[in-house]
Amino acid sequence: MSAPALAAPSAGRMAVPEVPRLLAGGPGRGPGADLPAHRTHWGPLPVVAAGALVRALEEVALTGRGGASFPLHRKLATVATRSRGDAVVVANGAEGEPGSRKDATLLALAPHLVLDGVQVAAAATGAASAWLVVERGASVDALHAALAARHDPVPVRVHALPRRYVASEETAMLRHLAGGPAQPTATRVLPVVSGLGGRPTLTSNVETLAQLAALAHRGPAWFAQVGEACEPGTRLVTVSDVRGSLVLEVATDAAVGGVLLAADVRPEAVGAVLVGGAMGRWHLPGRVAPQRLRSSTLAVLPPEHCPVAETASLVAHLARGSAGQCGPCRNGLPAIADDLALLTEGRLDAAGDERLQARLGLLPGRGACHLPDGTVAMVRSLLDALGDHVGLHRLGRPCAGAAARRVLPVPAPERSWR
Amino acid sequence: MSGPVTLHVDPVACRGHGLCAELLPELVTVDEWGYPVVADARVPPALLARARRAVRACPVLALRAQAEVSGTHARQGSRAARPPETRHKM
Ligand code: SF4
Ligand code: SF4
Repeated sequence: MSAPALAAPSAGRMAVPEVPRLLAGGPGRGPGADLPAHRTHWGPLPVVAAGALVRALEEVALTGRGGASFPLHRKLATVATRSRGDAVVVANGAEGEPGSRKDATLLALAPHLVLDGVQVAAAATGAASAWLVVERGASVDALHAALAARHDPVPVRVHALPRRYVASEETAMLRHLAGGPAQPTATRVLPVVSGLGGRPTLTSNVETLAQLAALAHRGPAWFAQVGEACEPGTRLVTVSDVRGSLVLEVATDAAVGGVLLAADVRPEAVGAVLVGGAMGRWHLPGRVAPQRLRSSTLAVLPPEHCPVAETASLVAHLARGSAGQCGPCRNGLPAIADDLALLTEGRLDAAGDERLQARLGLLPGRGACHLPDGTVAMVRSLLDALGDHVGLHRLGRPCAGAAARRVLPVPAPERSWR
Repeated sequence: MSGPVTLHVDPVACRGHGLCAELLPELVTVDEWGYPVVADARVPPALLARARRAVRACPVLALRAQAEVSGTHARQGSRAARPPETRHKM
């Protein structure tokens, strides 16, 4: 394993990944954003009929890589059945997750693989139009240049979402694409049935679409050469630590410990690991190292850092990112963030601790989206898995690590939902 | 209406007036900000009539009671939770 090399500044640090497939085109290592080089590596845009594509997707059990882990073949089959040549494909490249750089890195290093995936999905679903959604502030010039270099049958437009946590949630994203605010909709109608403008809409994460393109280019047998038997292939993962973030491509059967080693993280430098980002779970390193990685972000906290402070910062970020539509979320998240800020300083007394427990108990299931539930689960994992450290804070001993730089820096969210 | 009836709050519509908790304290309490908490969504038969009254009393139609429909709980590929069914309102 060679040492991490520097990639484009916007793309985070890049290591030589364990199984370079999607990212085979990293700097100096393949086609990258150059279309002729991409075609040399992957071949011409594949033509796959809907039925064959759905079967291949089912065979390799490709699931969404944007957090939902929903089987892609089912979404694709529904849209293909519903489409009257008017379906829409929406490629979601807006991560919105502190500590995730994998989609931005993928779009920087292999835009044409994502765009091949969009075209393959569009052809199979009978789509007439497609969107590539990124976060506002992302460099879109390279994407426009990549699109201009291609002569795709289905036109693809680039759309920028506000930088707020829930903006990239499926219904929020579709609402923004339709000209509304980027807030989740409380609707029962599935986008695959009636999405953008009432058309059947396939929304998919950009990595999922790149995986789909790789599958269409090379076939299921090739796809299944690496990874877990029941869900083969690779996944992209962002590993963050005090040095910054690094995007790796690893086999789906990679263990957390192995991924950390590949990211050049020394075991003695790990005090706690947050798997899955702001809505993820905290773990002690010894416990999580042998487990299979099933998430796309790993945040590594050195032993001298404070996981309570890190959690407080994340929850404050989530509270600011809440769409504020639902009372329990609008009130509960900032309140929990305040409790955690007190806990960080060692100033949460027994009554405060009880109040925090009550708030954590009452919040889940009472919002229109999963933000409150995911936040509570993350906070609970801190209290459970890292109870020893939390105990010191409860005893009123602020820890020196609280002042350290955050491993998952949270961006200032935009004010606007438009 | 036959079959078990369940009580739901549409979190986007609810204004937290707490009227429902006043009319149906057995099933609905309020959190520290006045927003309703439904402890157990299933409405016992003895409380059905009062549950219906609370539903009708909600000024923004955020409280809903519905006959439980099984097998309709797989929203595809979205992180959005399944909001309350509106068509099966009592
Ligand atoms: S639960 Fe929170 S983030 Fe989700 S829609 Fe409601 S207010 Fe917005
Ligand atoms: S009466 Fe309606 S608006 Fe008022 S708290 Fe109950 S559900 Fe919410």
